[in-house]
Amino acid sequence: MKRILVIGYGNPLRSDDGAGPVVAQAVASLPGVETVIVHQLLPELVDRLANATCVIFVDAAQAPPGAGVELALVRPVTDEALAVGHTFTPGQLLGLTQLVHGRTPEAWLVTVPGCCFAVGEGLSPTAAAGVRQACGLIERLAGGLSLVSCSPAERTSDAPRESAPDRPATG
Amino acid sequence: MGQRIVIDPVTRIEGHAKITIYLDESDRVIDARFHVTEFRGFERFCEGRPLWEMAGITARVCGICPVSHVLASARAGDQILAVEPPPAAQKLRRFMNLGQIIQSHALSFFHLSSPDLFLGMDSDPARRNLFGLIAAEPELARGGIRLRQFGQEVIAFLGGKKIHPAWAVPGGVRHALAEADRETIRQRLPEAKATTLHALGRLKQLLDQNQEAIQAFGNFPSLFLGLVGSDGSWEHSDGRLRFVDSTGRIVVDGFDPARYADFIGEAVESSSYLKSPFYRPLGYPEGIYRVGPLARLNVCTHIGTPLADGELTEFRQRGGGTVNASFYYHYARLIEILACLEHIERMLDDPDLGSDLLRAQAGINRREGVGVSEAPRGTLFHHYQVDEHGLIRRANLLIATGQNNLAMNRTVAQIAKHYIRGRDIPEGLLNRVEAGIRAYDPCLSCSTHAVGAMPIHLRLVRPDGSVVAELRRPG
Repeated sequence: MKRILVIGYGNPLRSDDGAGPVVAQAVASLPGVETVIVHQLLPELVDRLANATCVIFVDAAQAPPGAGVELALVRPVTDEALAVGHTFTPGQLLGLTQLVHGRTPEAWLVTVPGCCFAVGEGLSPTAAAGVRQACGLIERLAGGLSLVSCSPAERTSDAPRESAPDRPATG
Repeated sequence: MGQRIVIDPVTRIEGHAKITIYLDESDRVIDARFHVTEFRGFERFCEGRPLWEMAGITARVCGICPVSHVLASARAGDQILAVEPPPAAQKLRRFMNLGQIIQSHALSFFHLSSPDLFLGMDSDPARRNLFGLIAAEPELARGGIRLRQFGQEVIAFLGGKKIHPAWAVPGGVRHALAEADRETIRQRLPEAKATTLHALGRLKQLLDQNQEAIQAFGNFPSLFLGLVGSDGSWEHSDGRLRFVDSTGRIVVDGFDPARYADFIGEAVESSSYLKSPFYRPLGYPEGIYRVGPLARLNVCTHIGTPLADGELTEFRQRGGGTVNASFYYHYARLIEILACLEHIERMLDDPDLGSDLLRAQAGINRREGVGVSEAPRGTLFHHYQVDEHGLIRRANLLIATGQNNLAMNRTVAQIAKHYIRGRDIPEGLLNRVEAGIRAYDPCLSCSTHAVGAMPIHLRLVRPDGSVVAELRRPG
C-alpha cells in the first residue's frame, strides 16, 4: 500500500497562506494518508519523507481571482547555494532526504491560488475553491489514481508541470 | 571618517541584520557596527490585551524560541496573580525548557555554524551549508538533524505543537506528559547523547587546531549574567540572577528579577532597532555584559549531572577558568545540550510529569510582574503592568540577543581589525566577521517568514558617497 505524506505548509494567521494546512487537515482521514502541518519546511522532516512512497507538498501562492490549483512534479535539489538558513524549498528538502537517507519518494507540489495574504484568519473564495480542488486531487491519488494519469478535462488548471521553479517556501 | 564596508544582509542567523565596517583614510579598520534592520513592535501592540493572552501572543515573537517567551510570560503572570504554580507545573515548565534549549542549540550548532566550523571559513560559499556539511561530515550532520527533531518533539509532546505552543499560562500549564510520550523520549535519549558527545569530540579537535584564530574571535573582558540555582549550580528556569566579571568574581548575586531596572539600563542607538542593555552601575557602554550559554557556564559553580560536569571542567581548563572568548559559545552550547539531555533523563521517572494538578487559579492580585527565564540565547525578562481587569498597560521585553548587542559589536570590530587590511577583501574574511555574530546565535525574530536568497553585498564607499569597489556573494 502506498504511504502518502501530505505536508501542508503556511501561516494560518495570514489568510490564504493557511490554505496548505487546511488541505492537510481535510485529507487527514483518508486511508493511507499521513499529514503534517508546519509553518515552514524544515530539515527535521527528512525522516518522514524517507518513509513515504509519495509526498505531496501543499502551499499557497498569489494568483489572480478565479485561478485554479497548480500541480508540479518536484525534483530533488542538492547543489543549492540558497540553502543558507534553516528553511527549505520542497526541492531542497527532497534533496536533503536523498543525501541523508539515500532515497526520495515521488513528490508533488500542489499550489493553491490565493489573493489575500494579510494578517487574518479564513480563506478567500478563490483559495477556498482551490482547497476543494486540491483535496479532490489528493483523494484520487489516495484511491490509487496516479496524478499524471488525470485526464485533461479533469486537470484543466491543475495540469502537472514537471520541474516547476523551486520557489522559496512561504511560511 | 574614511570608508566603510557593508555586509548586508548577515546570513545564517535568525532574522535580518547588516554589518558596517568603518575604515580610516589608510584603509585600516577603526570600528564595526551590527545593525538590526527589522522592527516588530510587540511591546506596543500588547497594550490593552488581557494578561491571560500574553503567553500566546508573545510566543509569536519568534518561530525558533517561542517556548522561552511562553515561559517568561507565564512567570510574569504568576507574579501578577500572586500564585505559586503547582509543583507538577513547575517541573513540566522546566522539562519543556530543556527541550527548547536542545532544539535551538542544535539548530545553531549543526545547521547554522557547523558549515563554517567543519568546512572552513574560506570554503566555497556555495557549499558552505547543510548540504555541504552532509557531504563532508555525514554522521555529524544527520545526528544534528535528528537531535533538533528530538528537542522539538519534547516541546510538541507537551504543547501539542513544535512552534508557538500556548501551553504555559499564568498559574501553571495546560497539559501533563503522556506515558507513551515519556517512553518515546526515553528511547531516543541514547542516540541524542551519542550525537552530542560526537560533536563535542569534533569541536575539541577544532579548538586544538585553531587556537590563534579563537583568541581574536570576540575575546575581551566583560560581565556575564545568568540564572543560578540556590547552590550556585547551572540553572535555566527558576533560580536567582547573578552577575560575574571576566575573572569569575561575583559582582551581584541573587537579585530579585523585579529589580532588574536597578541593574540593567537600556540604551538605544540610532543605527539599530536592537536595544543595547548595559550593567547600570558601570554606565553605557562600559557596562557591557554577555548572556547565553557562555555566560551560564561562567556564572555557575557546577552543572549537577555527571557527563556535563566532566565537560564543564575541561571547558574551563581549555578556556582559562572564566572563559572570555566568544568562540566558546559553540562549545558551551554543546555542553548545555548534554546537560539538558541528562536532566531530562533524570526527570523522566518523576510521577509529577503525569499529574493533573497543573494550575493555580486566581484573579489580579498585583498590578505588576516580572518573569525571567533562561532562553537558549540568554536571560529573558518579561515585565508587565496591568489594570484592575488584567489588561496590559505597559509591557517591556528584555530579550537575550539585545543583552549581547554590545558584545556582538565588539566582536565584529575585533575580528575585522584582526583580518581586514585594505580594500582587497576575500569572501572568507567577511565570513569570519559574520561568524562572529553567529557565535552568539542572535535571534532577531525571524518568526515564520522565509529568508529566501540572502546574498552578501559589500561596498567600499568614499566619504563623499562614491563607491570605490563592490563585492557580491550571490544568493
